[in-house]
This record gives sequence, C-alpha cells and structure tokens, in this order.
Amino acid sequence: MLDLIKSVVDYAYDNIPLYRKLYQKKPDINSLEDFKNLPYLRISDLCANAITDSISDIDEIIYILPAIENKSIFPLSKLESTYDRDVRYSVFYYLLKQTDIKEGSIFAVITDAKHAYYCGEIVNNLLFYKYQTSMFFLRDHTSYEMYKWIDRIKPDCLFLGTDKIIGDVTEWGIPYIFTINRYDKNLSYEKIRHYDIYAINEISWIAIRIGDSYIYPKEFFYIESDPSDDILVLTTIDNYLQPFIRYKTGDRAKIIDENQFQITYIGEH
Amino acid sequence: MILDPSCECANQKNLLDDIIKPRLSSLFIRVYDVFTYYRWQFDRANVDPCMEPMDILEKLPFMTKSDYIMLESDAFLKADRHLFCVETTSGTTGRPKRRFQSINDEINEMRLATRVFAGFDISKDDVVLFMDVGNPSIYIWFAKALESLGVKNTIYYGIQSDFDRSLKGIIRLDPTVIVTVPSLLARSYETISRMYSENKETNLRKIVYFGEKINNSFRKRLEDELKVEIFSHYGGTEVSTIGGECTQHNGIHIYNDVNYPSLIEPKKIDETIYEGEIAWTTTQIDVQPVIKYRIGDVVQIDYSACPCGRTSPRIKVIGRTDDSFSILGEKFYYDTILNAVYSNINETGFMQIILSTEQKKDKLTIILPEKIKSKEKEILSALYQTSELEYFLSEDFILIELRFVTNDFFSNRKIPSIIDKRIY
Repeated sequence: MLDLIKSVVDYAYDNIPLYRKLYQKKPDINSLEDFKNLPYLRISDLCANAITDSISDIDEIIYILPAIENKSIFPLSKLESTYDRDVRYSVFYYLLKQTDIKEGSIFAVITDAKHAYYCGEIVNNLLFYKYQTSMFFLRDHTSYEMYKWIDRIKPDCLFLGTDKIIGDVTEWGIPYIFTINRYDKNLSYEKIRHYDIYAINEISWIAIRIGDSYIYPKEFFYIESDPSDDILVLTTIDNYLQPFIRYKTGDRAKIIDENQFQITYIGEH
Repeated sequence: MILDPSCECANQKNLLDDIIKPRLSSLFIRVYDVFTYYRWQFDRANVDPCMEPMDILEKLPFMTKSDYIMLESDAFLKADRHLFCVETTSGTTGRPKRRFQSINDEINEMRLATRVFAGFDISKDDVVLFMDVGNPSIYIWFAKALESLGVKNTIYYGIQSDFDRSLKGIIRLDPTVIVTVPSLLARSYETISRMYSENKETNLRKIVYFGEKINNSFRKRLEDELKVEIFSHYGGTEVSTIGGECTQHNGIHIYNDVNYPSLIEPKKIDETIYEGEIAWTTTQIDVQPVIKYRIGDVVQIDYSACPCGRTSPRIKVIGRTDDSFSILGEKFYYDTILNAVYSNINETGFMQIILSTEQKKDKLTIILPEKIKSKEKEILSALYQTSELEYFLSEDFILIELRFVTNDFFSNRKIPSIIDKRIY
C-alpha cells in the first residue's frame, strides 16, 4: 500500500497544479505516517481553483459524471479519462459482488430530476454487467402509482435514487432495495435485503453497506478518519485525470478494518 | 401543438431581423473574445465581429470536424466551474470529438427539445418509453423536456441482445410513444412485431426516432404493421437538437431562431426548395458554439409554408457526405441503393456496399442478409429500375453483384456502410 500511495502522491505533484500549490514542495513519503502528515484536500480548495488546476490533462477527459445539485455547496462533477471510467466500473462491480443478488436479476431504478444523471450512470453500469434495468422518472406520482408501474416489470431489485419519500416500498414485494447515502433501518425486513451505497459526487461510488459496515475495494481507495473530528478522509489509488489525495469529506466514520468503515454521521450529499 | 408561435409561426423576414440577426451578432462578439480558433478565422477573413451579421456569415469559411476539435480547450476553460457534462463521439477524424456543456447549455437544449416534442403532439396522458442499450443520458433531457410539457410517465427501458427476454416488459408497460434509434428498432423488430401482433389491446400510437436515418421501407412497414405514426427528431452531438417532424410529416421543421442553416453550393430544385450539404450556426449553445458547421448531411430545404402553421423551413435529409460515392463523376448515396434494394420486400434494411474495380469498371457488391436471398431477382430488378442507377447499369458502366451473408453479420452497429476498394 505504501508504494501505491507514494506513486499517487508523486504523480499528483508532478502533474496537477493544485497539489503543487497545496504541498509547496514534493513530498517525500517513506511511511504511512509521512503520508498522514500531508495537508487535507478540501472541497474549498477545489472551488477556489480553476478546474484545469485539479486535472492532469484536458485532452484525456472523455466523460463527466454530472453532479447531483446540492443545496449548500457548488456541485462538482466528476471528470474522467477512459482509464478512470473503467476504474469506476470496476468499483461498481466490486460493490455488486458484495451482495447476494443473482446474475440476470432485473433492476428498476426510481429517479427524480435532481438525481437523474447520477442514476443514469447506475443504469449504464448495471446494463454493462448484464442486469436488465429500467429507470422510472418520479414526478408527482403517489407511492401507489409508482408501485403500479414498477410492478409491471416485476423487478428483483429496486434502486431508490430519489430523496422524495416513497412510502411503503417494503410492501412492494421486491426482495432487494438499494439506496445511495440513505441507509434506513426501516427498509430492512425479514424478506428484504437493503444495501446502501456510499458515494460522493466528485469521486462517485465508494463502498456498500453490508451488515453494520461499509465495505470498499482497498485496491482503489485508501480511507482514514481524521482523529480530531472523525471526518472520513479519502484517497483514490487508481485515478489519474483527477486524483483525490487525503480528501476531507463531510461525513464522519470509524475505521473498522483495511476495507471497512462505519458511518456515524452522513453529511449533505 | 405549437409551443412558441411567436417564433415558429412568425413572418420569416421579421424573425430574421428581430431575433436571428441580434442572436448572431451576440454570438460573433462572444466567440471572437473567447475562442482562439474563431478569432483566427475572423481575422483571416478580414471580418469584424460587430459587422452586419449576415455579411459575417457570408464571409466566414465553413467549419469542418477537424476545426471543431480546435474549440475544445477554450470551451473547457470558458465552462470552468459551470461545466456540467461532456458528449463524446468516436469521430471520423482519428480522435474523439468532445462537446463540453454548461448548465446553461442543458437548460437551452431542454427548451428546444420541449418545442420539438410539442411538435410530435405528445400529450400529458402519454406514456413515453425510451428504448436503448446503454447510457440513458440523452433520454434524461428528453424526459425533462417531456416533463415541461406536463407528461408524467416517462420510462427508460434498457435492453440487451437477448431481445426475446429483455423486451418482454415493454408490452406490460404498454407505452403510447416509443423513442429510440432506428438501428436498434430494426434489429429488435422481429421480436417487437411478434409481441404486438400477439397483444392486440395495446396503446402504442407513435414512434420517435433520432440519431440515424430510417430506411423508407422500414418506416412504411412500422406504420402499416404497428399502426403507428412515425416522427423524426433531428440533431447532432455538436449542434444538439435542431428540429423535428410535425404531424403533417412533410419534412423536419428546423427551429431557425436557435440554429441557423447555410447550404454549401445550393442547387435550386424549384421556387421554394434548395438542395446541398447543410451547415449550422448555433446561437444558443453557451460553451462550445459552432458557426457554419458541416455535420455531414445533404438535405433539401423547403421554404414554403407548412399546413401545420409553422413558417420555419423544413428539411429532408437525402444523404450523408460520408455515405456517398462517385462513379464517373456522378454522386450516389447509400440510401438510394438501400431504398431500391428494399423497395419491394417486406423486410428490415441492412446492407453494406463494397466498391471495387473489375474489368476496368467500377463494381458494386451489395452485401445483404441471407434471409432475403429468395428475393434476389426482385432486388436486382428494383436496382435496374432505379432512376439514378438505370443509365449506368444499362450502359454497362457499373457491374453489380449481390452477395448474401449470415444474418448476424449485421448485428454489429459499427459496420461501415460503404467500403471503397477501387483502384483509380
């Protein structure tokens, strides 16, 4: 892990103006302690600098994952190269593999205008991994109206990509319910498995809740918790266009293991 | 429904003076300040961005796909924190083309798409189903545009190559409108046709296609067999939505208050119709606008009034510049051959043309799926009767051969429509 982290830091310093500004001189990383002495990257750093300062090469941008509009902060879209996009797909696959959903399962995704592009990418990923997927746009539907639509395709899994309350989804007879940053113990019943995905606009999906903990692929992320305030701090290991190094999120977490954490507070996403 | 009669039904002269010219002027001043490429082109053409806009348009050169790539860096810098997304296409110039978009672009495009969808007479009670195989991003702003029209039920339906299995849900969702790309519709049509013939009590009324042209015989087949009305939504990655058909089905209305057309070497067909390769100037694209941009379509543009009440010109796409070939100086379009091949047979149109040299003549080998091999005579007869080909075939200037291949040869969406192996 140390070698990987060192190479990420070296690469970022050599190629990305924002990190040169943040670190002043090239960091010499010989231990994880050295790494943990690096300053945090904060969302304010990203907002205060030109977007070109946070990426390695404009020519490599092939995809942008549009941000979910947020009430309190300026939304930051995720910029990706072909390689970075492949990494995101791999992370998604890793998260799916942590669940017990069967191959060939049918997914229904409910979205609203605010989350539509983000959910569109989830649909894209699910289709890529051969899951039959449909996406329903929630407007002023009542819960029952939406149930009637969803029921027509008899999905095995429901992806709730909306903040708007869809009451009673547990009574829809769908065995698996997925959410993003919205773990709700009321969604877990005897016959329903509820999986919550932890995701951040500017990084995309990171971990999935299994039991009490969020599991993440350690080959793609290094995760810490700031000892002073328990805020979750993220480093992307395998992103080259726009790597995040010691990125301080708005969420609090307790590190359980090298690929597990528990979220104690979820901020605004 | 005409959503914006003040533009769509306006006197064209007034529209030009009151709306189009001010928008063009604003565009020219904006791009001169922001884009190195445009500044270079304006200076080279000795054009001041504050000049009369139609004079500027006349003097500026047509823009190619290679030119378009030169806009990318400046567009990205201009967007900066307002960057919303990027559309990337594989491109024909050896590297992908990218269009960076801001939130303003998203909103402007949605407004225009709303006007186009209104032209399809889609009502709030319709159930609109978007059918495709992958990324639903384009359908999201279609869905947002439909929401602006009050349409409540919009569904993206992702399908996979196992059509029998993955299309089953469509009948249960029972859409009144399907929005999709023609090649996907064609490939899945056997299943769709069977599903709808087995389920007579369905409510499908309209099919909206975009992204590609639809073969005339396939369009007729859809109309006859599914009893649906077909509408074209016309646009492109670099220009976004341009227009769509109205219920008169007499060409694609272009919304020229937003996208202004220019023709390259226009040929007058009659008093109101001109033909030529079309180029677009986009007045409402925020981050990466184009001026006289050649998207590669050859069109007929009709300036006569439409019975629907719109005064905007209508276009018919008659070919692609990269979907054509010349024989003895005469230009032939892929679609001409395709329409001839499928004119008398009740099948979906797949075809590839290979051009080669044989006995010092140009040879046209037409690759077709083996399921239509039994119609070989009818196909040849139709080709010989096609006005564009008749002379060349009867005078023996062109050799022609039909070659049949397995049906799954055409399952790849990226098969080149024309391969030219001729020795000149």
